[in-house]
Amino acid sequence: MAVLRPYFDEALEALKQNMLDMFDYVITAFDEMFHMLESNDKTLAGHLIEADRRVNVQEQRINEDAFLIILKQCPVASDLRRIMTAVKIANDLERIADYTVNVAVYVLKTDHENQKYRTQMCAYRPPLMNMLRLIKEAYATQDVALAEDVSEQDYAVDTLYQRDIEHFIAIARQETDDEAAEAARSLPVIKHFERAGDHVTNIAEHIVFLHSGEHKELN
Amino acid sequence: MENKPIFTIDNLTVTYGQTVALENINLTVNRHAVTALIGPSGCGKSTFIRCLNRMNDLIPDCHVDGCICLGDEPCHHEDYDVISLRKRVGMVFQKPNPFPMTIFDNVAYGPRCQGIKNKAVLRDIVENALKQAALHDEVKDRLDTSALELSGGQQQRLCIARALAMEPEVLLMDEPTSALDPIATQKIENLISDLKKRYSIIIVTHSMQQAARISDYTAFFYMGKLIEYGKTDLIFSLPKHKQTEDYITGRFG
Repeated sequence: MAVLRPYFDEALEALKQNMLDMFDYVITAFDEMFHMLESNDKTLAGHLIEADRRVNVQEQRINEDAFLIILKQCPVASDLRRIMTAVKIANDLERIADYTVNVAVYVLKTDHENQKYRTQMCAYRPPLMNMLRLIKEAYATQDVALAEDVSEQDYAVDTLYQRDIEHFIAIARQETDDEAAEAARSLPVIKHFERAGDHVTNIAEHIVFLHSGEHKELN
Repeated sequence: MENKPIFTIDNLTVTYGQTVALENINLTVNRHAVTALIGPSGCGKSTFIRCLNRMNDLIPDCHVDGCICLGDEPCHHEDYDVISLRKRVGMVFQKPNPFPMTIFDNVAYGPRCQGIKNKAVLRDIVENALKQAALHDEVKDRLDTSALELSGGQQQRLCIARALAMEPEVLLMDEPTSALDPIATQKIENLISDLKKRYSIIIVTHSMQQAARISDYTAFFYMGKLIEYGKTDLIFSLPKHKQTEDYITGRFG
């Protein structure tokens, strides 16, 4: 078929490339965040806080581009879905990236090396990194089956979270005040990981909508 | 009656000599709704709309097959009086075409042809039609001036008033705003949305945005075939056919 709207197609392609870049920023940030937790590297924590700005700027750029495409091209049907889902997914990605900042702040504020909790936190690394990488692929290729598959993987994160909640409550009940305080400070970190998994599921839902126009609740 | 379709079209095929303009069209047009007909030039949408009030009767080698019912009555046959059909099915064209006479006489033309001579009655009909066409306020002090002095947008609303003066059930509009500026277009679009409470409206338009804005149902024609017909919200968000998607997104090659 002849390309009848070359400038429109170019703008949509640029929007998609900006989205894929944003996915990469978030994946890198999450990878570095887990590395920071493993090594208790406070320099890396500062870097993570700085790097989050790039994600925020990227989200703003995507919003502005989407706004202008709607303004100039009056998109309908699948074109409109592409633009709307880009805006929504960018919002989820920005929220996921925010968690890396919160975890960085936690690492900066934690005085002593609390190896026990950091090991527990790093248990979230394999499932979350896997989900982030695959959801980017699902978006890039508009692979609905893969997106649904990724949302299924969120069960593993939820299971970890449930287990850890019980564990932290037990500590708060039995251990010394210091231990309980440390457990309470660590709890938000795993809560962030659980929420990050939920945002990946949201992205999976947006990918389903992008493809089928269906609002389908996953997981 | 209210829920029954205003038009039921079965197996409609229209040929001009050897050329097939419409092929096996099946469609029901809903009452008190705006139905938009879209499709590229030559797709058959104008032929279709012209079948509904038998404008094609005037074309010598035009042949119409199938059945068109207005309400329950088959109206495509020569047995059905074409004058009474056009009284029930009014039409507004792409270019405003007021008669070269006064504003009043333009609107009173149809009723006069129907034998209405009483001046008070005619005045009421004209006033009422002009009000419905959202033109009354602008012309009420100069009803005896020539209609040709009106602006394009006013002329088009006058043509709508002229059609409404016959109290039709259906208003056919063939690209009614394509010759108008954005403000006049906006007025006609608002008018169409107001008028659907009393009339059933079928509009041909080349503007996707206009179809999306003002219609309740959309029919997409391509190469003489009805490709897709359904609620406008669905056609413009999730069309079933790739040809529809390609056309409305502007990628028809």
